[in-house]
Amino acid sequence: MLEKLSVDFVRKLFYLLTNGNAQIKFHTICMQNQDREKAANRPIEFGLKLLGYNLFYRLPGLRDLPVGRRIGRDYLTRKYLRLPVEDLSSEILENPAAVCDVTDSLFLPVLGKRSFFQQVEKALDCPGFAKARLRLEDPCMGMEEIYQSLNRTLQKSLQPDTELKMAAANLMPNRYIIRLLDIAVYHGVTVHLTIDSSYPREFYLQLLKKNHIGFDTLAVSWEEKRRKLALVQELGLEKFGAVSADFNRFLRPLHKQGGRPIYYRAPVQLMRDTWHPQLSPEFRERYDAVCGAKVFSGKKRPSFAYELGYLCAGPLLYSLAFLVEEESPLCYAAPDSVLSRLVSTTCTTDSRISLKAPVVQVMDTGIDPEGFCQWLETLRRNHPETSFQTVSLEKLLGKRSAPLFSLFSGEENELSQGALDFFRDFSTCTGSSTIPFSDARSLYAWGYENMNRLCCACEKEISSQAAV
Amino acid sequence: MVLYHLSTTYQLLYCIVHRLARHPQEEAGLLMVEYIRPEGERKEFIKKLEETGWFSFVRLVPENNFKLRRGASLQETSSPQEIEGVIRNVCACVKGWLNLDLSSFSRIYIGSDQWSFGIYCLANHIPHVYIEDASGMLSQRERYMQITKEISMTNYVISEYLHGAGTSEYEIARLSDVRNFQEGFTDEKAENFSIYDALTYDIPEKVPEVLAFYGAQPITVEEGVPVCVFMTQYLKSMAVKDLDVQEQITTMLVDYFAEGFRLVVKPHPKDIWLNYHRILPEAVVLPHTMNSELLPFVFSRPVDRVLTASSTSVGGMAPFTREVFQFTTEIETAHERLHGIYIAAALLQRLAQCAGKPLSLSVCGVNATQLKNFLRILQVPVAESGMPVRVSNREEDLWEAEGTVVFVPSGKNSRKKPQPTHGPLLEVTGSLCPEEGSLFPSAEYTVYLSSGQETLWDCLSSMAFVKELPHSAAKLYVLTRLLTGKEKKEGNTKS
Repeated sequence: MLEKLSVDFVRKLFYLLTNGNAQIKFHTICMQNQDREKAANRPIEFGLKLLGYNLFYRLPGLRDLPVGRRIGRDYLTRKYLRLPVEDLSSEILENPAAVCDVTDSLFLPVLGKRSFFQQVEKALDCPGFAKARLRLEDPCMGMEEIYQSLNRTLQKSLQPDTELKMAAANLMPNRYIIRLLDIAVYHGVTVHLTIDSSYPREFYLQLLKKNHIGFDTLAVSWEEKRRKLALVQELGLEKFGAVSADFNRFLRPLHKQGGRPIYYRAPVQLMRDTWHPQLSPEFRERYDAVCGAKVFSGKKRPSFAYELGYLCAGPLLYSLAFLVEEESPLCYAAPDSVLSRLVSTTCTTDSRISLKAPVVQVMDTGIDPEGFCQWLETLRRNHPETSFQTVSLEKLLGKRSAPLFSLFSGEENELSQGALDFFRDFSTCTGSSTIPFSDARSLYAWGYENMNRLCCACEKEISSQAAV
Repeated sequence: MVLYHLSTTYQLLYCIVHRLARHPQEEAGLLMVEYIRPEGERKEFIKKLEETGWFSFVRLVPENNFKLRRGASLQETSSPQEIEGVIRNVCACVKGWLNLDLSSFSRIYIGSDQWSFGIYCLANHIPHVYIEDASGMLSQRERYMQITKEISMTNYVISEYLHGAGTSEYEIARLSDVRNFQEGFTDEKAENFSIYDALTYDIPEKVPEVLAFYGAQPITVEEGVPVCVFMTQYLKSMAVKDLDVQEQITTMLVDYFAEGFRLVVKPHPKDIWLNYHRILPEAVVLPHTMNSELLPFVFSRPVDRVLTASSTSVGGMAPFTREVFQFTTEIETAHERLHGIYIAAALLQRLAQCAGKPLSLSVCGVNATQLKNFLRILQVPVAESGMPVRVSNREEDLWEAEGTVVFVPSGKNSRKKPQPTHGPLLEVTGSLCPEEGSLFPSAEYTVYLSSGQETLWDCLSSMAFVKELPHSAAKLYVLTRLLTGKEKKEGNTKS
């Protein structure tokens, strides 16, 4: 019966069922990406699912329930499955021109406005800066004007340089959208960038140049004293693609004017849509921004083990590295382990090392309880004058550390790769800000069961291979 | 009358040339998988092909439509009943659509038999001639099946079930470019047919006609400037699935292997996502629509070098160039190791200079193709009668193997730091330092050398240089130091 419906009718119906609001748009596309052949193989089931999404994501309250979207418990990469950028590019190549709203798509901020201004306040050592700056935040006002007002209010003579420098560091380039625009430029599509911002054009030009982003025009709101939508409308484009994370105030109105919407749900929004354990607000803001940008931007399609490593084991590794660095000069871990590469603490399972301090704190990572006991015993025998204090990671965690085996043993896997990537990304993007151990422990606890399950499966596979 | 079926742009050119060279007097029909061209271009493309008069009819196989009617998608775990059910549905679709008496064709040529028409012929035991998917690909079945699997799991499962892709008993011959077979591969049903040979020797008068169809313009190559043609690949048929990685591989190869050359980029017909104008601004970028096999007929003179990561099309250019640099598919999965191999090759170059004689190499666990390519670039003298050197990825070889050994850590060994427990060791470290905006991360690559010839140490340990990688926006700083027993003690504990 379905085959007899006209293609036009099916397309219109499909459009209606997938464009209700931002969440419907995003999640129905992800649903298709999860099984590209579902619509063909099981059209009735597919249609019913579309209807279900329409109901669920329309109802306020209900739509914000993070059903199937829990950190460490659900495979979020599969839930938030965007198209590979090369496939998405066919949409931007359909038209001779494209507009891209830079905010939350081309560059992704680590900190939101409020926290960012607080950070600037600290750097400037200027109490009251954040509050006043936030009040003056207006994308139709330039930095000069804003700082004149600020200086009047705060009785200071501040210059915007510090803020601009910190703002550049606060933005993470999004390789997924950069690629999308690069493909468009390569094929001769005219690319117009637009942004609601008070920052000078030069600020964006430098960022774009640094990231080798090609474009034809750049419109910054404060220069024209008009918001991004008006700036695009003034271009007078007839057929164009529009890339943005702003569904309601940018894509919808442009769609009515003939634009082809390419909705890019902001990665940080995906993290906000996800159910977290209780985390300190300061860490959570950074965690959401970095994890969103690095795991859910669309560039990667990591395995569940990698995702768990990144989201749940990574923060623990990060926090632990700081802890070990500060407190334990000796750690029971392989010298070529992931941990050993991140800390200056001696990681070893060799008891023939030389020790000079009278008191040595030793971290038991839990990778080999018997081996650790023997090792410690030998150390004590070899250094009778030294007093050893043992810190058990399992006690600190309140759980077994078996899933973290790959971080301490030198036998790396996807989980350890994810954790290592988190370590690098988080320290780069946040300027090595600290992670409270309690937060790291909560995230580990949320991912514990799945990490444990995957590690057991992995161990079984290794032992069966060894048996063969 | 003969019938051709194909799915790739390579096969299209192959079939056109084959039809003109081998069946000039017969009529020919052409079936093409519709995905050969984007939807918007199909009508015009068919019209253009029909206008050439080469084929009596040209039809696109509506694969997308068939896909909607095949009933289910298959997995590797699908049962024979499920697979047969899908095959039945596909055959019913083809039968209803085909409207041709296949027995009336004197020969049926099938390229890419994993698509519907091929499935129909295999399932109905229709004798046909198989056409390989790319030049020499018949000899790389494993790689080909991996690509098929990634493009369509259902097609892959059916192809394996029906024993297609160059292994079917219903194939009466296998048309292939045997010159580009992997070394040692043979196939008794292989029937040699090379586009280059046919156009050069059999039907040279048809060359202008073929070039005109592809809109290929003559390319004048200046004399006195060496030219390197870089042949790109289609991301979806590579092991990498990330454009950033494909760009890294591209810039790295150009930096190492095209230095001092006038660069010409020939994008694969489906490689439409990498912006070569941005990545290689000084290069001439040829249109991606033209097949690389036609390049010998558009250049005003032979080129000096052809470079590719692992494109099979490189074979088509082989008769038209002085030298070819190509790599195994390992470069797609572990491209960053290339820096390590370069350092090893630079060390071998130095070793040959210090020893004052050629080297006789035995390679174990290290990618021999990559090493060989670097040795060629660096002009390292190699001869069987030369100084014996073992290049290995096994740390034990440093001490167990006789003579001079170069240890190139890789894979699980990549972080191994051997200690000079049995004698001095030369440590050569390359630090990759990316500039702002580079896609490469900072990294370090170390290789080690042990040798009984202590007279070489002074000469070797003074090796230090910087390799500029301008397109990769990075520099490789290479430093050497001699490890003696003293470092062993220091290296054991961290301060």
